[in-house]
Amino acid sequence: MTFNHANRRLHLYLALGLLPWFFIYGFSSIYISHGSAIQRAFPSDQPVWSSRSEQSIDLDVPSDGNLRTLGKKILSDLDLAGPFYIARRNFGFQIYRVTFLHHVRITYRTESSTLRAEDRRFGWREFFGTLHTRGGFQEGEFLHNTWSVIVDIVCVGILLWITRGLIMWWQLIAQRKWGIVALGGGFVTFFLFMLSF
Amino acid sequence: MGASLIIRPTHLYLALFLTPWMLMYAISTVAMNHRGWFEDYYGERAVQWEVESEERYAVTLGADPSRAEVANQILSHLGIEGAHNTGGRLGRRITITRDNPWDTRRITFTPSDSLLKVERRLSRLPVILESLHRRRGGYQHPIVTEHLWSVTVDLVIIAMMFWAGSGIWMWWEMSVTRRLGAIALGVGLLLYAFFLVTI
Repeated sequence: MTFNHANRRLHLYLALGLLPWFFIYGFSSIYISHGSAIQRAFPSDQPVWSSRSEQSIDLDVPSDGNLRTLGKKILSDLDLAGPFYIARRNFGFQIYRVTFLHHVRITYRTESSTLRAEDRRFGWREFFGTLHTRGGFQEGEFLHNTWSVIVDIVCVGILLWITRGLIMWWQLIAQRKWGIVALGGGFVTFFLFMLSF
Repeated sequence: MGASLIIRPTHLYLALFLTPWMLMYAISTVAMNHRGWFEDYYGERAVQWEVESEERYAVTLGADPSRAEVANQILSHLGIEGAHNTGGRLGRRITITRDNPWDTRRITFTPSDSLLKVERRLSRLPVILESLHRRRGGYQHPIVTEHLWSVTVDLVIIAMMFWAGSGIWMWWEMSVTRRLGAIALGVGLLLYAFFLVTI
C-alpha cells in the first residue's frame, strides 16, 4: 500500500466512523444560530420548567471557593448523580444536571432556605444544543469524559482531513488552479473578517 | 457517474474555501473542551477583565434618548464603534460589551453620576478562540460585515452536512471500500446512539 493509498483510506474510514458527530455538529448549529427564529415559528404553550420537588433546608454555602462538593451531595440526595454544572447567583446558587434527553435545574435561595428542583420540558433546541455543546472533563464521570475524548478526536479528525485533503487536492493537477483560488479566497475572506471586528 | 461530476468538485472546493473556518472551529473546540487546562495554566479563569479607564461623561442626546443611542454615542466617544451588546436600564446603569474577539471591552455607564468605566478583557488565546467560535453576527445586524459573517457561519453549517452526505456518496461509489466503510460507519452510529441514551 502506497502513502497515497493509505492516506485516501484513512481519510475515508475516519470520516465514516466520526460521521454522526460531524453531521450532528453541523445540523445542531442550525438550532444554535437560528434557535430564536425556530422557537418563534414553533411556539409551545407548555411552561419551560415544571416543579419536581421543593424543600426547606439550611445549607452551609461556602462564601468563596468551590461549590462542587456541595452540588454533588445535593444531586446524590435527589438521586440525580452524574455530571453537572453549578453557578453562584445573587440569590444563592443553581445546579444544572443535563443529559442529552433531559435537563434538571436545582435552585437554592439563601434568603428563604429553599431548594427547588425543576424539570425542563423536552425541546429540540435544548436537545440539539446539548449535543452541540457537551464537553469538558469532570472527575469520576467516566462516560461523560469518554464523550469529551471523542470530541477531541473529532477535532483532531478535522485537522487531519484538512491536511490529507490538501495533499490529495495537490495531486490532482487539473484542480490545482481553481483550488488555489478557493483556498486563497477563503484565507483572504477570513482575514478580512478578522480585521473588520 | 453524472452526479459525481458535481459532488466531487463541490466537496473539494467548498472544503478548500472553508479551510480557515474549519481550522478555527476545530482548534477552538479543543480549547473549550479543556478549559481546566487553561485555568491551571493561568491560575484563574481564563476570562479576566482589567480596568482601563474611568471618567465622567455627559451624554449629549435629546431629552429622551434610547439605550441604543446612548451606547452608540459612548462607543463613538471612545472611538471603538462596532458590534456590541447592551444590557441594563438607562435609568440605573447600562453595560455595553464591544464584541471584538481580539480586544473585547466592557463599558459601564451610570447616568446618575455620569460615570463611564471601561474594562478590557485580557487577550488570552483560549478566550479569543472561544469568542470566534461563538460569534454569530446576525441577519438583523446593522453592521454589514456582521451580516456577512452570519452568511459564512450558515455556509459552514450547510457545508458540514454536505460533506457528510457527499462523503457517503463517494464511499458507496468505491465498491472495494464498502465492507470496511460499513463497519466504520456502523460502529460510529452505534457508539453515538449508546451515548445518546446513557449520558
